[in-house]
Amino acid sequence: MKRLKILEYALSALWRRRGKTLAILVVYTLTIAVLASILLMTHSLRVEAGLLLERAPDVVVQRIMAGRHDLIPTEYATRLREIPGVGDVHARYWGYYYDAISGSNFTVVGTADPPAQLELLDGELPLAPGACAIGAGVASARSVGVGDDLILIDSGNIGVVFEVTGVFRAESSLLTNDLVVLRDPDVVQFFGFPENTATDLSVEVFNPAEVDTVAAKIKVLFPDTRPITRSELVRTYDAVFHWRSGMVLTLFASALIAFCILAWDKATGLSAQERREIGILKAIGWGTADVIELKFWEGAALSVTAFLTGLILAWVHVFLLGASILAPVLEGWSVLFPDFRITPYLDLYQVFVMAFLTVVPYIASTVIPSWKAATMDPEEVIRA
Amino acid sequence: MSAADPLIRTEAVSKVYNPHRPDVVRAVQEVSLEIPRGDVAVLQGPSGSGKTSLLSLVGCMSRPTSGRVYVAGDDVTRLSEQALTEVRRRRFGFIFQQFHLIPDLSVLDNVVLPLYAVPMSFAAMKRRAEPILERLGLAAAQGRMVRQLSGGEQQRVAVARALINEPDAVIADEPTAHLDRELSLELLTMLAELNRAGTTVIIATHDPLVVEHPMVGTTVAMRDGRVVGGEPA
Amino acid sequence: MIAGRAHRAFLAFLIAEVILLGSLLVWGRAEAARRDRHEVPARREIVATLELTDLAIWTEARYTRHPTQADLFSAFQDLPSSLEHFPAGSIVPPSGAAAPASDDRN
Repeated sequence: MKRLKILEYALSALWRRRGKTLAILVVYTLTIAVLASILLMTHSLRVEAGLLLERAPDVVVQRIMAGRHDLIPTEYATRLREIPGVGDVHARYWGYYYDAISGSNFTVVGTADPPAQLELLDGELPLAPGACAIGAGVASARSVGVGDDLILIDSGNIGVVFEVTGVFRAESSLLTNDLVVLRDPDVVQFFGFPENTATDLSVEVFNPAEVDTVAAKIKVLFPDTRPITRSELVRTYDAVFHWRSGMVLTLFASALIAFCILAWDKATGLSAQERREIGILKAIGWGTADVIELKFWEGAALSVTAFLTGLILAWVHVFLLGASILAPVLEGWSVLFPDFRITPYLDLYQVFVMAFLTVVPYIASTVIPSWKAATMDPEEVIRA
Repeated sequence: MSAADPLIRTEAVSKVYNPHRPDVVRAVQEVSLEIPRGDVAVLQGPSGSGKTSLLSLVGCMSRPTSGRVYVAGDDVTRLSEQALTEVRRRRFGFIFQQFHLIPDLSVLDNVVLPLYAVPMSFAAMKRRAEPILERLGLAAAQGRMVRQLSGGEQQRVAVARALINEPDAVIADEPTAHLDRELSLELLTMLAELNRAGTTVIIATHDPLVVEHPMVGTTVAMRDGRVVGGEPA
Repeated sequence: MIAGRAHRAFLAFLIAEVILLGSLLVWGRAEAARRDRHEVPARREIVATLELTDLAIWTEARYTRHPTQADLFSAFQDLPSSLEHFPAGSIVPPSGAAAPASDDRN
């Protein structure tokens, strides 16, 4: 009963200082909303990347020349097929296209013998020369749809007409937003690849446990190559979306600084009014423990409210609104940026850590400055 | 402890502030006194005579630097902070010179404030407050903010708050310092009534109106922290 | 205050928030499971068919569009001392640093 009474008084005290209380609550809640948004989004993308890239090629072999990525001779494939444990090895043709009309970069990807239909594709993949399938971002940037013509300028400065046979649906934007899919010979001709060269080679390894060994052998066989295994792909996105990486840390830091300023302001001492009130309470019969408990409830009421509200706001923002506020910050100069449809994968551990790291320091910054006044003889506090 | 024990007894009690510093203040020096139960005791003296500090010692609001303080026969000098708070709460009700009410709380909330630190339901607290408010003519005003009250009304709220714990003694520090003559007399009448009902009253003052009031029993005259005269009950 | 309303209102509010949060979490779990069943296989199909290696997020530069394929040199593409000039480049770490285990192989 006494606990609830002290809580009642704590709430009343917060309400009596309502201007300051509301200001702190708003700042605190927004800070937590930003932090939580970042954590929720990056964790989700990390899980998603891991799930999707499980179907990426086992090993991609690039050629390195003078430290730069160069085209790879297709005859390397013959030797690679002889490595024990290696299955299919074939050339990949892909590159980048700068579209002056929309000011955006497309990724042009070649395909050899694809199935006609895909679940997330409206229409078909290119089955004949001169056909293309495009991502939703490309379709919208160039205002074309299935059946329309897409004109791209090739390496000889000639306009090439492709017929759009398929447009990828928005649900696949994260993978396909800027893609232009052509048949392999069309890619070779469009970019003017020298004969018997490709962008890189895709290597199939039968036994997943042997991928690293095979990659090592490839490196020995062709010292001028750089084999990239699937686990490295996943690890890269793990790092991109890890909270310690540049993106997260940048956003994190600003939110954290706001929070530290808040806590510092609280921790640098009680206002005269608060001191006087503690003195009065002690003089009329409240004990030190009661005063400390009062300050505890003041801190806890505010921080728990801010945490829950901030977390709910972040959750709605990221998973229901597609991180529409955070996304522009991440866009950079990308003209084509996918609409995030982030799946609610949640890491409860992260949430608990966040709860702990935001609530506890705030309560401490409320209780600790009051400690001295709470333990003083009432006479001293009143006289002061 | 027997009924004949004085409510308050001090033995050579001293209070020194800033003991090892150049600005040391010896507020109370070797004071021994007794205040019987049911008495009205006045600690009298000019500013700086130490009467407020002695009042704090007597009311368990601070601890003596040396000497002993007995409340109802129990030595409270070395009690833990929690135990001392308990004694203070049970035995004494304080009326401060500046009232020290919470201006943004209602009359009722201010009066029951001491009871928040005690396990008692909201309803029980209200029940305890009602007769006191009635007696002091505050029943109608109980929902109003203290901030909106006149000086006289605030004074009565301060008295009501001092009574809520049903204390053995009401302790008042310069209660008439900010009051006009009429309000001062009103206050003294209230205190006299309390005393007639059995509550001990202890007042620190230099106001002759208080010192010469007929209800006063023991007088303790002070100067420079020492007792220089006075009349027992 | 003595009416004891503040703490009741506050506790009710907290409980409401906890329930709301709980509902969101439960919905999220169900939604994630649904997408795992229906959308994820379809997207993985695209990855397998087109042999994709990267997510199509930052299209401003080669090494931001395909961070997994980027070599250590890409960031210095114009000149050895060339400073980072794509905003997304500050977000995306270089692939080599992201996968230190590749060095163990060499």
